[in-house]
Amino acid sequence: MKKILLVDDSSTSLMHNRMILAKGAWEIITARDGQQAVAMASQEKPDLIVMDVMMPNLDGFGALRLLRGSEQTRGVPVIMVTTRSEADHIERGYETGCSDYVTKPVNGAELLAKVRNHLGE
Amino acid sequence: MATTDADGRAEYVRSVRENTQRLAQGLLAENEKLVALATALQVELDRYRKEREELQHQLTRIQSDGQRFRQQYHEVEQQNANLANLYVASYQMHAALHHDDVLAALSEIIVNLIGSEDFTIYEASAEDPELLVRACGMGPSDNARPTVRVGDGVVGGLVARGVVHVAGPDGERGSAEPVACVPLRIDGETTGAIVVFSLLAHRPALGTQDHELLDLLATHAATALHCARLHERYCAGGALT
Repeated sequence: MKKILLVDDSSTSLMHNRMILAKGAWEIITARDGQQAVAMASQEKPDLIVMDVMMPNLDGFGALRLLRGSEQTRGVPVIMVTTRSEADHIERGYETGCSDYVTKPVNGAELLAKVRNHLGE
Repeated sequence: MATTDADGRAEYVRSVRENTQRLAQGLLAENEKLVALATALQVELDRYRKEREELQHQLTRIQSDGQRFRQQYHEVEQQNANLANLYVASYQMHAALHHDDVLAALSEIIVNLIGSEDFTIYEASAEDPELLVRACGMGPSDNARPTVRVGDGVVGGLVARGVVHVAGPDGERGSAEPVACVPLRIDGETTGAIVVFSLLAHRPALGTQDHELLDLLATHAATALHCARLHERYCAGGALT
C-alpha cells in the first residue's frame, strides 16, 4: 500500500484532506509543521507528500528545500497546498522543487486526480 | 475444289455462330446469376443499413445514459464533498472546549473550507452594546476593522436582519458590502457575527456548497462559542447562566 504524508498545522485542513484521500487505498500519515514533515519523510519514506505552505517553525517552502537536498527524499513528489494563486508564488514553489500544487479551499476531485497522477495510478 | 472451300467456310461460320450463341447464353446465365447475387447483396446491404441505424440509435441512447450517469456521479461527488465539509466544520467547532480554540477552529474553517483570509469574527459582550472583534484573518483590511453596532452601517444592518447574507459576484456587490455576513444568534438574540470581507484571489464567488456551510456556521458557531464561554465560567467557578 502506498503511503502519503499530509503536512498542515491546521487540524481542519488535515481532517478535510484525509477525508478526500480516504477514497483511495493509501496509508495516510500526518505531520503538523515543516520540521516534523522532513523528519517523518526520512523515517517513513512516503510515496507522496501533500504539504501546506504556511506553517509554524518551518514553512512549506523551507521544508521542500530540505527534502530536495536530502538523498533519501529528493525524488518524492510533493504537492503544495496554498492559499495564494499568484503566478510569482506558484513559480517560487516550482523553483523550490514542488511537483504540483492545489489552492485552498481544496477541491477533492482535483486533489485526488493530482495524487493519482503522481502516484502513477 | 471450290465446293470444298465453300463448305469449309459455311462450317466455319456455323461453328462461330454456335460458339457465339453458347457464349451469349453463358453470359446471359452469368448475368442472371449476377443479378440474383446483386439482389441478394442489396437485401443484405439494406439489412446491415437497418442494423447500423439501430446500433446508432443504441449508441446514442448509451451515450446519453453515460452522460446522465456522469452527471449523477458528479452530483453525488459534489454532495459527498459538501457533506464532508459540513462534517469537518461541525466536528472541529464542537471538538474544542476553550473559547480561543473554538475561535481558532472557526478561523481555520473560514480559511480552509470557505477560502477567505479577510474575515472577522465578532462577539457581543455583556459590558458593551457593540459587537467586538474577537478574531481576524490575515486580510489586507484587518488593521482598521471597527466594532459593529447591530443595526448601524452596512455590516450592522446585515447582522440585524438575522439571516445569512451572501453577496452576488464582485461586479454586483456594493463597495462596503461584505462577501458574506453570518449573524450568530441564540434564542433570537444576536451573540455575534462572522463577516467575510473578501475571498482568496482565485475564488470568484461563493457557491451553493458555501451557502450550506455558512448556514451550518450560523447554527453551530454561536452555540459552540456559548458552550466554550460556559466552560470557562465553570472552570473559573462562576455561575452557568
